[in-house]
This record gives sequence, structure tokens and C-alpha cells, in this order.
Amino acid sequence: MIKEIDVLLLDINNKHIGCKLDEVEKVISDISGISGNTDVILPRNKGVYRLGDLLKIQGMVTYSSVLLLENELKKPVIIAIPAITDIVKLKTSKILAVPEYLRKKQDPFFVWGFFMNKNDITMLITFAYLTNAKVKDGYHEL
Amino acid sequence: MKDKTSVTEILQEIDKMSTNKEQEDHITKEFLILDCHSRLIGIQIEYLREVFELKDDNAISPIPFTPSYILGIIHIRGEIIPVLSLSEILKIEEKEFSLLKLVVIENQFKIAFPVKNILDMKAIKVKEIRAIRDISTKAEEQFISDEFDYNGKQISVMDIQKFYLSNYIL
Repeated sequence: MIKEIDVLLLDINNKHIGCKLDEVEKVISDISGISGNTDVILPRNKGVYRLGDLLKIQGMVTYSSVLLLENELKKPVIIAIPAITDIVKLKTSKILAVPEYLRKKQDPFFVWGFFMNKNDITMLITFAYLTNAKVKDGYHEL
Repeated sequence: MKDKTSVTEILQEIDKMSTNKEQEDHITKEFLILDCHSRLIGIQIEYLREVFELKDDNAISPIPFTPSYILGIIHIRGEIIPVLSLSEILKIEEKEFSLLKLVVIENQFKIAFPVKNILDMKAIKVKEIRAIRDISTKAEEQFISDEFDYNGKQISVMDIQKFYLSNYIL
């Protein structure tokens, strides 16, 4: 039986990103009016990360939603994200592995796979290193 | 009689050596000559897999948390190929223009380099390839040991095997 995972899709400056929905505790959509600035509702000392910064994507990113993750100490990790594009079911057989070379060169291990979504290459990312969750031998456990 | 045979053998040997020399003069190596920020680089054809037009800069997806010489990845027919910056690896000063073509090479695995242009594919006689005279940077010294002339210009030969054994890959 082919396994499927739920993937939350995001677009940042024409880059297509996906993350496993079960990594996310909660999604708060529409933090409207907070273009490029999460400080108003999300104080920095609460561990707020901007996805554009994490991905080192240049240019202005409009943050309109947040993801709440939980770390091992049960403290929330907050990721500011652009609007969610979609949530899709992805067959694990459709996932393209990260080349071994990039597994070795990527530290921390952030991009763990790719898949084609409507002719666009989409990067599958994990927040495991932010939440101290374990990534087994550099491979994301499905 | 024995001496006569020996002389014949020696003459035959000399003749063979001369033939070998003539054959060696005709041995060639084929190179792809590419322009990377106005620096002309030769890559041996045996390592070349494909050359693509880069539609736009967005075709390369950057991968976070990788060294700066890794520009990202490109997806080619179901395959994910790392894209590396040749200018950063060879410490070539970057000029202001787009890199429009992507050269895919393979030794242990495939990697791609964006370049400004592909100038030619040329067979060069081995005797015309010489040790490089002027190595301007330490990085070049690591991967460029030979050069040859092409249309009055010097082409630096990139040693792909050495490159695959370097820290950029290992």
C-alpha cells in the first residue's frame, strides 16, 4: 500500500515550499495587516522565525499566517509564513530524494526531499532542527 | 647472421618508434570551451553530460544551509542535480551579466555549472596542451594545471578528477 502524507504548500517569491502537516501543531491564518512584520502580535522573545529568513530567500516577503510547532520542552516555536497556498495529499513514492552530496553539505538538515506539483519543483522542508526533534541519520522519517 | 638480425630489429624498432611518434602527434582530446565571467575554461568532453539553456534565474532552487558555492538544485527529467558556482570555486571575478547556460558534468555523480556561453567543442592535439604558465589564484592552482590556445585566446583546462576529489565535493 502506498503511503500518503499531508503537505502544506507555500509560495515565497516564486519558490515552492512544502512541509508535513503533522509537524505543525496549529496554523493561524490571516494575521492581516502585518505585512513583512510579525513583531506586533508575535514578540521576538517567544522564538518567532520568519520562513523567508530561514530559507535565506531574498526580497520582501509578506507574512500573513503563522505555524505553531512544539519543541521537546513543550514550548511553542512560531514560524511566520506567507499565506498557505494549498494542502495536498502526497504519495511518498512521488518524493524525489535529496542527492547524497547535498545531504552531506546541508547543515542543519532542512530540505529533505522534492516533488513536482503542477510542473513546479517543490522543496519539502522540516523544522525538526528548530524543535530539537530527531531526524534519523539525516533522513526524515515518514 | 645474428648481428644482421639484431641490426634489422633495431631498424624495425626505430621505424616503430617513429610511427608511434607520428601517431602520438595526431592524438587529440576533446574539450567543451565555455565562457564563465569572461574567463575561458576547457572541460574534457568525457565528463560532459548535457548543456541546457537557463530560462531564468528562478530555474535554480536555492538550498538553505549549504556553502555559498552551492547555488541550489535543478530538476532535469526527474533527476535532482546540484548546481555549483564555477566562478566562486575558481575565484573568478564576477561580472554583471546573466549566466545563461547550464553545463552538466559527471564523474562520481552529476553536478551543474551555470556559464555565460558555450563557445565551441574542439579536438585539441595533446602536444598542443601545455602546463599553465600563469596561475593567478590558489584556487585555480588546485584545479587548473594545463592550457591551450584557441583563436588566439588561452583556454584553462579544468581538471575534473581533481575537482571531484576536493573539499568542494567530499
